[in-house]
Amino acid sequence: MIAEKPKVVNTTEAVLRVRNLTVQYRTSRGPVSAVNQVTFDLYKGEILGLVGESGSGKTTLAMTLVGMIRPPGRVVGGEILLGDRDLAKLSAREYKTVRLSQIALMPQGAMNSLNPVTPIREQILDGIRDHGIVLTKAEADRHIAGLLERVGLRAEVANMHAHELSGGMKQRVALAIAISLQPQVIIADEPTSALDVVVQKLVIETLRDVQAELGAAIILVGHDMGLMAQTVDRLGVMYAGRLVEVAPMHDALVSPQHPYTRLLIDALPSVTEKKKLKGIPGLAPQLLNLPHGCAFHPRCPLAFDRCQQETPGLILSSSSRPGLSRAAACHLLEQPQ
Amino acid sequence: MTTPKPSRFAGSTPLIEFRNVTKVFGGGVFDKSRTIALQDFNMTLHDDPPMITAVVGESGSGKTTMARLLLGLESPTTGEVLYRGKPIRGMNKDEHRDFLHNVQFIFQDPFGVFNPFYRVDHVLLKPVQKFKLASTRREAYQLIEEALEAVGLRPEETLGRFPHEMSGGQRQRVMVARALLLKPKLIIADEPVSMVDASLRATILGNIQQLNEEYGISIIYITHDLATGYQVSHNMIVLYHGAVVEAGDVELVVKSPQHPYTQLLMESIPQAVPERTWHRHGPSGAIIKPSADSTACKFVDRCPHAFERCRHQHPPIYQPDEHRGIACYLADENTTPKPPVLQTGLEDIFVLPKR
Repeated sequence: MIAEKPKVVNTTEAVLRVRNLTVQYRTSRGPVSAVNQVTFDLYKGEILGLVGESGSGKTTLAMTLVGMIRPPGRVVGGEILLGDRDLAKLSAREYKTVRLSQIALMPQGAMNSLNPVTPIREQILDGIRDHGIVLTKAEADRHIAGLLERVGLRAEVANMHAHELSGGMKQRVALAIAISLQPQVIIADEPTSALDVVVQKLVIETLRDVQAELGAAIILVGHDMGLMAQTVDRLGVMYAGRLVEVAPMHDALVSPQHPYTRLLIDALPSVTEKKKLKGIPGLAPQLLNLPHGCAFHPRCPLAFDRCQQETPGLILSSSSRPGLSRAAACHLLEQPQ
Repeated sequence: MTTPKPSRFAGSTPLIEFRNVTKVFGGGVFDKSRTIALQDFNMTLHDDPPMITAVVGESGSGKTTMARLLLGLESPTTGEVLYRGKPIRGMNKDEHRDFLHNVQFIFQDPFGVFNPFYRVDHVLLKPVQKFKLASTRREAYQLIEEALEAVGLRPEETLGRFPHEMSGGQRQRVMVARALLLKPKLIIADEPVSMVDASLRATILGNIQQLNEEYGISIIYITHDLATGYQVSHNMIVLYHGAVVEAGDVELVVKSPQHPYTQLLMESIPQAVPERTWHRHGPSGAIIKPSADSTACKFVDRCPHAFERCRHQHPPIYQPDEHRGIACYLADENTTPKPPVLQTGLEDIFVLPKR
């Protein structure tokens, strides 16, 4: 079973602390905040899921964390604290020394991120060399074989080219590259969205195995609530650039505090019961023209007057996991029950 | 039940018929890249009563090849694909016109279908003009507005806009409206919601169900997603590397799958339930592509139950339940009395929709 031993998440040991992070894109009609005042902690050895619809800012957030946000996007405020270092203040050149060695990306659609004309071996070594590490051929061979074995691939894959590999294998190669320098944090941006369900499960199993071995913390970005439920320890829900709920996965499923989280769970088609398919009414808002107050209020079945006037902040409460809090940005939490 | 019953549909001409269709891609017998996309595929679809049939499979299962054969974009290597008893690739002009009118397609990618230089109206007006559904422009617009309203789009907010001004979900609903406009007999929907957000997915699938229930249109829903297949369809066909592995009533196929492959698919679906239900795969999780020349069961290298018989001959489709077919020797070995082998097309095991 994937989740046999419950992991002890040390609540005092946050590997990555994100504080009030705001990322804007400049457009011809003014700046838009794709990531808006996002604050969360990532604990050692946990998998944190980030879900949201397209346009919710989850991929922008992932790209910002690995320092790969490019103009017209830029960080306009907030901190990304990895240990004592604020990554948000690093220049592109400085970020190069941190990326891969301390915080690495496992990209969406590995088929497009691998170089079609270079053997896998060279692509793994590329990042290692870039960090000034010199390996003899024998050392490199051993290191690469070890990495490939760790992600469940044969050592011969090193000499193959991307087109010789299946989608699942390519995604594993992307994982091997991401862990090549044993980073503390891995950002996995929809790593399985292009894969079949059976392969998806194998890749997620590999991801969990690798994480257990390395003790790295992982942020898994995605849109599939089912995948999150089976994979992550805690869940963050994004809507229109804001983090609207963060909770242990079990709590999010059993007692979601934000109405949007509830609707996302209910929108997933069941395989055990035929019922009327439920979508989320309305459309995701345009960032240039956000509704006043809570951005979700026009689609929210429980909205009341206050929601149209005031943007709710995150309200902390205790979760079912001792020592761990949960939070949601909804005025309902302050209503007398 | 040892002698097969005569077909329920004996005597009537089916809307669509796949007769022993095999489609092979790639060169000769010794070509290593030779791929059997569809093998000995038989399926008959009658339009009375209109049903929703899900064709489910992973990439490489042959589901898109099946759709391309249906549209006449490919011709079968052996066997025949028939529309109202006529081969799709050999129709005369009138028959072909009738086919183009009555068989509509909804593609996976709602972005690729639109010409970015034309307003949305264009893609809706063209079929009205082509099939002379209206005699005046006003009448044409009236039809279009009705179709848009039927899929829950407001005509005044949709017409006159350019494709880039709409979301992916809206564009896909325009395509559903376009299909509806022609009041076809059959709609083939190939992964219509795989590029749409979960929140809109339900709405579009609801539209497709509505086309079946209210307008009496038969639907072939092609997908990799068992869960949505289960939710919208009456019957399901599960394909694996070009062969039917299990078919029949969705309530049976999805809720109590009997073929080891269907079971593997089912347990791989991540569900949003508080109890973790994912268990580690056995060796069957590994992907092994069956050889094109092998006569063995296609799933034999991944199957946890494989035995000698499976290595010699791909199993026929057994019928252990009235509304289920399964291509697996387990059905033959473990059931008493022995189940009959399905002689007629798959339509005889299908459940008919409740009226």
